[in-house]
Amino acid sequence: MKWGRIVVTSLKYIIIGVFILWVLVPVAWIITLAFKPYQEWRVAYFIPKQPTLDNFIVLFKPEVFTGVMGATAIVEPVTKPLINSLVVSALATVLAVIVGFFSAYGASRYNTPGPFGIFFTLLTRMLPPATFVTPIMVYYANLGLLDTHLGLIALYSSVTVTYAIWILKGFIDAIPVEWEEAAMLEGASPTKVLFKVVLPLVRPGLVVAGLFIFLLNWTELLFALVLTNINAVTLPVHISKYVGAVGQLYGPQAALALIGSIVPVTIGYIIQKHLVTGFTFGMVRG
Amino acid sequence: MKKVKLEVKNITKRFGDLLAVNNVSFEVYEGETFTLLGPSGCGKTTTLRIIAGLEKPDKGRVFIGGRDVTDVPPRERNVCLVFQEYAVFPHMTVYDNIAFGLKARKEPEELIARRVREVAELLGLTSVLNTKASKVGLSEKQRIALGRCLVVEPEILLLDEPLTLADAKIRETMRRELRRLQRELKITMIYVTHDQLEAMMLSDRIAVMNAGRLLQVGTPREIYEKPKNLFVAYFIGSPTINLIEGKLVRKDGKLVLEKEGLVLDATKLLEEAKGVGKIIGREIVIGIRPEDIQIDPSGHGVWKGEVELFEVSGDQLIVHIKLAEETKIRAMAPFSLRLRTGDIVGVAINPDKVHVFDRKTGERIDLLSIGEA
Amino acid sequence: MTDRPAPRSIKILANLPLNALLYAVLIIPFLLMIYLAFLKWNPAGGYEWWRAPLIGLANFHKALHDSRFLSSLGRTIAYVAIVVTIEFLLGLLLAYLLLEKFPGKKLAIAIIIYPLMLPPVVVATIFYLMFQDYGPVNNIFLRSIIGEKALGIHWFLRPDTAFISLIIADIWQWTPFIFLIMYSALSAVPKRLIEAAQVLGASNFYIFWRIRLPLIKPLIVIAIVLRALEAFKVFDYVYIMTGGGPGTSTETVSVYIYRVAIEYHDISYASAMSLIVLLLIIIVTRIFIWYSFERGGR
Ligand SMILES: Nc1ncnc2c1ncn2[C@@H]1O[C@H](COP(=O)(O)OP(=O)(O)O)[C@@H](O)[C@H]1O
Ligand SMILES: [Mg+2]
Repeated sequence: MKWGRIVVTSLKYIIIGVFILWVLVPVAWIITLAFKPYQEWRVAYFIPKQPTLDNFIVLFKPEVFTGVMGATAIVEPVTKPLINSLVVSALATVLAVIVGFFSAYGASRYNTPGPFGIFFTLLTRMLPPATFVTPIMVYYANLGLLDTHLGLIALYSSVTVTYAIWILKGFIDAIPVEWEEAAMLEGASPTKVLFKVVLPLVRPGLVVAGLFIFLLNWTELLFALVLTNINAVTLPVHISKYVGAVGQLYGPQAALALIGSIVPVTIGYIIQKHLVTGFTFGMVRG
Repeated sequence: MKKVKLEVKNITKRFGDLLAVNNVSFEVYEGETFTLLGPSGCGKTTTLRIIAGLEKPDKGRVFIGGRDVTDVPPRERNVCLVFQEYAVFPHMTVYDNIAFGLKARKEPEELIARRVREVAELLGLTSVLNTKASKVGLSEKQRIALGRCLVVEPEILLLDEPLTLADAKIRETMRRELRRLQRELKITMIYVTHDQLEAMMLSDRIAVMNAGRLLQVGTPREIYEKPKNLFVAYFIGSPTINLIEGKLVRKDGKLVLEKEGLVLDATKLLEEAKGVGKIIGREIVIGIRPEDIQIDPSGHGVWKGEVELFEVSGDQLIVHIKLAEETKIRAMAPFSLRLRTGDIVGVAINPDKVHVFDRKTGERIDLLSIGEA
Repeated sequence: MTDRPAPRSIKILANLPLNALLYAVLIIPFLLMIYLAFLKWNPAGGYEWWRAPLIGLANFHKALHDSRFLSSLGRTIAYVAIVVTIEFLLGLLLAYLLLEKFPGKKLAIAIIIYPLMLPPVVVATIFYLMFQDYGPVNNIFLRSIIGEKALGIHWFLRPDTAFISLIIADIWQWTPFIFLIMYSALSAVPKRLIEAAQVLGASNFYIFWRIRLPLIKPLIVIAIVLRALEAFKVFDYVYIMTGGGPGTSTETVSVYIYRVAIEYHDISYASAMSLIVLLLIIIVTRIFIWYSFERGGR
């Protein structure tokens, strides 16, 4: 009787423990690998015997170390993709959140019709980007937007704007409408109400929506792969080239994975409470 | 000899800094309706949940039928709890709700069907058996919650303020129904309420609680007639008991209550009482129930006073009478008594009906027993 | 307030920027894609698409007889079925186990959801490195079980192990997604209902089946469908870890369409296949919406 309960409880903690290990072991491997000199890339232990920063340095100055590490291909430094990713993700986020805010307000307060019903939301999110690759490529080629920041920003903001609308609408719905009505009775114009009353109140929502969308932008690979070449290459594209083509540069590849994780993981934990809401378009409240 | 069905021994439960239940002990006999009565927040629900096994006491033990069940999970205790919020299973039909306990116990299908029908009949739920439980009204939900418990024939049925959500009229009939059911089925029932009237009507015995403590256990009559302390006296009875406090002293051959310079002559009230000598010189509180006071328009009685105000309470009047500056009492009077504000009336009080409490401890002082001692 | 006509200024702000963005970047290219799918056009051919000849349904016909397309479609569906099933069962189990309070629970949850925040390219990199011949899967884990033989397992050189490595990466990253939804769903089941069932004599197992699961069913549907649609897109893992290989044995729909468009420059054919996939997705999404939102409302 009592023993049964002890067994069940221990089993529960064992399962949780095993799953935590399952999550942590690959992460631990990558972190340790990133600090291993190339003599230790193929070893069967975690903690490096001779920890080094070479793997990180080579990402920024590939010409220095590639010879030593036995790599053949020459890769661009990670600096530019990193900056590109920051710029593109941030500007696309800002655009999506601004546009989304106005539409969310209209949807929350006035039911202004907009093409952002559940169906459309799901479609923009659920269609495999691969099915959109051909037309956007041809279209951008004709507009001269290939390999430009602007092209990526426009595309990213348009596929995430429905997210912004849904998340922000949830936040605006939660603001009592009386405050706006009071302001209107005092003679404020609708736009003034929007900017002076609603905007300050919905700031936490803007932050959550913004961070979540930034996360999506930061992690996007396929569109960037198709639409960029030299000038606007983003970090995921750089990673995919580095891991796919450069062969067995294990240490730098691990270091690159770490560099690619820092920003999204930080953001992820900041909006941890809202992750469910974000990932389900507000269908599930966290 | 009555058989003890449940024994609760010295249970204590804390929620952080809050002592929700403080060293509570009582026994419940087989077949009786035992009520936990007290203001909201006094620890009734917590006590009930400890009995059901949903909450573990920090200290103390719970025995059901002599067996120590303190560490037994709820499902093996064979007690059933009707929650204050009913907690019917919204995704099931009424039938499945009532059948739930039997199905969980893997009883045979025919037995389940028969028992469910019996209980549904008893509670008047037959017509809604196939309705989704989320679609029925509050009164049905309450009966489902009850039926769901009845069907498993628990050793003890626990009810947590089952009538608070119902409206007054339904409450009235449900009370009567509950009493009838309990008599018919001879269930041991522990009933929780903050409504003293309900407790008085339903219970064989009542336990009065306040701030996590058990103050008094007794029959409704005992609790009404011999409240063990000020809180019980004040909590039981409607309108509430009149309380007059002061130091009882003998002055110029008279017995007077003294308080901050004001005096009230209590000679006529207490002179005859045996053992009154023991309380002379002590700070006391005198309690007199409004219904124990007779108004004499001709001015005779223990005291005289001026009629200040009337309130209607059911088929009676509550008359507020000013005895002296700062001293007012309320008395019940029939409508037939023709009174006007400003009238000077006498109040007659049977000395046997006077309750005396120690002002500091709030404990009852039994004049008789003191006198005998 | 919701049904009031919007003031002009609000109407403009709410509709104009949004529509401008959506039309300029999504809707026009989408219409373009439909047109492209009916052309015979390869940008390597030396003329622009508006000069290309219309060839009717030929591209669609080709797709339906293209075994590489069909098998990539079948493979993707199999992939979705496998990962979603495992992720659902694991995620639900974890959510259930983590429901009760215990010391360290917050930390446990923070760790469990870690993979969810990583870019899929990073996860792909991680598992690319894990599954190398001398990676820890062979060198530490399997070697401790089957000895030196383990070092001879070339994960990405065999179709079955390559496919498994993709599935493992997916499960690693996305089980937390199901976990999060199931966790918030299970936490939202009123405690009273569980207690009522306990008091009525139900075991934890019975309560799970009869109370918890039925009550969270709508959210189970949402979680599974969202995850399935997301898994269907799988591109990053394949592109980085296996490159679709060996041969075309791990090529998913997204990868195949990408290749046809980018490597073989057959834009019209890629557009036609895209439209077919799109149609499939629209049907699934539509059924889902009908099921969760319109059928009697939620
Ligand atoms: N789970 C809990 N956590 C913290 N405090 C609680 C909890 N349950 C009850 N309490 C507190 O314990 C006290 C007694 O509560 P309860 O037993 O519900 O009182 P009653 O049923 O008499 O109204 C209250 O002050 C209540 O706020
Ligand atoms: Mg209560």
